[in-house]
Amino acid sequence: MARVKRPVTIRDLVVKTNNSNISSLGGIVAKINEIIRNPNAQASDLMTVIETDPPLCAKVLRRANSAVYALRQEVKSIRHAIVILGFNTVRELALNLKVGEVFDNGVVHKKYERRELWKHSLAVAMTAKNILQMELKAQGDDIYPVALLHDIGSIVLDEFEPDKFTEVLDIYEQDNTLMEWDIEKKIFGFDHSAVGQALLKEWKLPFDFVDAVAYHHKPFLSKVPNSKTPYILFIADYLCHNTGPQFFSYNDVHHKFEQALEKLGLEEKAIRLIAEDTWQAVYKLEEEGLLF
Amino acid sequence: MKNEVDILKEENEILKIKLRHVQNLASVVELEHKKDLENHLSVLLELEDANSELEKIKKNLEYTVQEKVEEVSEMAQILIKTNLELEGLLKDAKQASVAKSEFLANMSHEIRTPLNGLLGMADLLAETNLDIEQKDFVETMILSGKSLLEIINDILDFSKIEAGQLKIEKVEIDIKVIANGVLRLMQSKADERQNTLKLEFDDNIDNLLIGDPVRIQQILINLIGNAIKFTENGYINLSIERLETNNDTNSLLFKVSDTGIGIAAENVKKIFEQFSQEEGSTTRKFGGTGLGLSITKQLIELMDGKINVVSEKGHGAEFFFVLNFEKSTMIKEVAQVAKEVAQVAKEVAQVAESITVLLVEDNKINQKLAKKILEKQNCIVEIANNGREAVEAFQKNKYNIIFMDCQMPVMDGFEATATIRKLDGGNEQLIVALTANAMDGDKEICLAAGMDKFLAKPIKKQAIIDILTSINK
Ligand SMILES: [Fe+2]
Ligand SMILES: [Fe+2]
Repeated sequence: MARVKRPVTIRDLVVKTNNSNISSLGGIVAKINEIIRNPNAQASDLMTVIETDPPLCAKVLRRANSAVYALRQEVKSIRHAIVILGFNTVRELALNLKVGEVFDNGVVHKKYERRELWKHSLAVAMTAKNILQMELKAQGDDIYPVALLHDIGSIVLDEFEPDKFTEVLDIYEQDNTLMEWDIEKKIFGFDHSAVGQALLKEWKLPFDFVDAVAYHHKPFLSKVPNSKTPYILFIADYLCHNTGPQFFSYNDVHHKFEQALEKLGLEEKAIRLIAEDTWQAVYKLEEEGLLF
Repeated sequence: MKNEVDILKEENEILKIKLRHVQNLASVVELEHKKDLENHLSVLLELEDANSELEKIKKNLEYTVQEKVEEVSEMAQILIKTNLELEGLLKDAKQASVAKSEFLANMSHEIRTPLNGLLGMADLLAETNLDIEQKDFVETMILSGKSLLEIINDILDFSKIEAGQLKIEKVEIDIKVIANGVLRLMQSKADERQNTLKLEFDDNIDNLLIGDPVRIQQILINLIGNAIKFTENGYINLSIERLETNNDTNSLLFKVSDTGIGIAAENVKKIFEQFSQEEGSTTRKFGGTGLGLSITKQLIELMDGKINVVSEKGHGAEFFFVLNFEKSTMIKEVAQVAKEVAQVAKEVAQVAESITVLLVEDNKINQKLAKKILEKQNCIVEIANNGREAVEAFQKNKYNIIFMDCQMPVMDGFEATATIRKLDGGNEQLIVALTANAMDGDKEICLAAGMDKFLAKPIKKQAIIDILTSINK
C-alpha cells in the first residue's frame, strides 16, 4: 500500500473530503440550517431543499410512514409530512438521514464500527436538543445539526487514514488514562475536533457551528460570547462518551463537566434523567433498524 | 423506614424533575406547534391563493383566448373589407389620375396650337411698320405669349410623364454638342442677369452615345435656366464628367452649379416636388410654373438616374445626377477597328498617297487645322473657301473625299452638296459634312441634303483616321 511520506495535514484531509461523497453534506446542512435561521423561511423552503435531493426525499417519506410515527394515513409528499409531523420533526429527519448517509458504511475496525460513531452522533444530537428544550425551554434548532456533525473529524480520519486511526484506538485501549484526542494529536499532530473545524469552515457553515465543533471537548475555549451551544454539546457528548452510546469513553474530564453544568445552572441528576430517556429512544431506533 | 423514606424522597424528586421536563417540553412543543400551525396556515393560504389565482388565470385565459379569437377574426374581417375598399379606391384614383393627366396633355396640346398661331402672327405684326407705342404693345404681347407657351410646355410634359405617355428615345447623340447647344441657347438669358456660363467637358466621354437628345437638352435647359433664375452677377457652371473609362457604357456625372442665393436646408428635399419653388412666394418673384425641377427629376428617373442637390442658403446650389449611356454601336465598331488601325495605318500611309481631299471650309483657322491633320495622314488636300468654289473644284477635279462645312457664305454646304449630286459623277462622290452647331436634327438635315457622313467640329484626328480607314475598305 502506498504511503504518504509527508505527514498528512488537515488541509490534505479537507481536500480529500471535498473530493469524496462526504462533501455533499455541507451544502445540505447549510441549506437546512439557513431555513431555521431565516425568520421569513417557510415550510415550502424546507420542502424545496429536501425535494432537490431525491434519495433523501424518498428516505424522509419512507421514515415518515414507518412504525415510529404510527400515522393513520400515508404521507405522500414532504409538504404532507411537514403538516402531519411538524416542521422540526421533518427537519431533523432530513438532517439525520442526510448526515447518516456518510456514516452508513460497513467499515469495521478491530475496535469500532462506523455505525457506532453514528449512533453516538445521533444520541449526542438528541440529548443536546432535549437538554435545551426540557431544561432551558429553548428550541434547540441550532444545536441539532452541530451535534450531528461534532465528530465528523473522526469520520474523515477513519476514511482517509484508517491505519493511523486504528492505531489511535489501539493505543487508547491499552492505556485508557490517556484522552483519545491527545493520542490523535500524537499520531496526526492534530485531533478530530480540529479536522471538523476545518471542514465546517470549508463548507461555509455559520461561525458558531464551526466554533462549537472546534471546542466540543473544551467548551471554555469557545470564541462565541454568551453561547450555550458549546457547553450543552460538551455536556451531551461527555454523557454519551461516558455512559451512553459511544465508541470510546472519556476519562478524567469530569471536573470540566461539572464546571459546564455550573455555568449553565444545570443539575447533573436532571440532565442524566434526560440523557437516559433519550438513549432509550436511540436504542429503540437501533433495534428497529431505523438509525439510518 | 428511613431508607424507604429516602427512596420515596428520591422518587418524588425525580418525579418533580420529570414534571418540570414535561412542562418545559410542552411549552416548547406548543411553540413548535404554533409555528407549525402558522406554517400550515400560510401553506393553506398559499394553496388557496394559488388555487383562486389559478382559477382566475384559467378564467382569464378562457376569456382572453375566446375574446382574442373573436377580436382577431373581427379585425381580419374589417381588414379584408378595408383592403377591398382601398383597392377599389386605389384603382379609381389611378384611373382618375390617368384620365386627368390625359385630359391635361390633350388640353395643353389644344392650347399650344392656337397659341403658336398667335405668336406667329404677333411676330409678323412686329415686322410691319408700327409706331413706338404699337411696337411696345406687340413686344409685350410676344413676351407674354412666350412665357405662356413655356408654362404650357411644362404642363404638357408633366402631364405626359404622369400619364406614362412620355417615352425616352434611343438615338445616337453627341453629349458635347448638346451641351454646347444648350449653353448657346441660355447665353442671352444668362447675359440678362450678368451671369457667366461655363462648360467643363471631360474628353474621355465617347462622342457618340445612345440617348434621348431632346430630353437631355430639356434637363440641362431646365437646370441652367433655374440656376440663372436664382443667380445674379455670378457664375453658372455645367460640368459633365465620365465616371469610369474602362467600360463600354459611359457613366456620366452631370453637375449644374451656380453662385446664386442657394436653397435653405429645410427646403432641399421639397425642391423637386411639383409646384414647389423654395417658397410659395419665390414662384411669384422668380416666375415659372414650379414644374421645371419636378419634370427634370422625373425625366432623369425615366432614364434610370437620380438627381440630387447640394446647397446652402446664400452659397449657391449644385444639382447633380448620373446617367448611363450605351456607346453607339458605330463607336464600338470604330473601337474595334481602332485596334486594327495600328496595322492598317501603314497601309493607309501607303494608300493615302492616292487619297485626294477637297476641304470646303470658310474659316481660315479651321482650314489650317484640318489640312494639317489630313496631310499627316498623307492626303493631298485642296481647299475651297465656300460652296461655289467647291462645285467649281469638283467640276475640274475628282476627289476621294470632300469635307464640306455646312454654314458658309456665298453657297452653304447643303446647297453645294445638292448641286454636286446633280453633276456628272456627283452621286458617287463621298461627301462628309462638317458641322459646328450639331443641334439635334442637324445630322438629319445633312443626310437629307445628300451628305454621306457627318463630322462634328472641332475636327478630331481620330475621326478623320476612322473615315480614311473606312474608304480604304
Ligand atoms: Fe469528539
Ligand atoms: Fe463525541
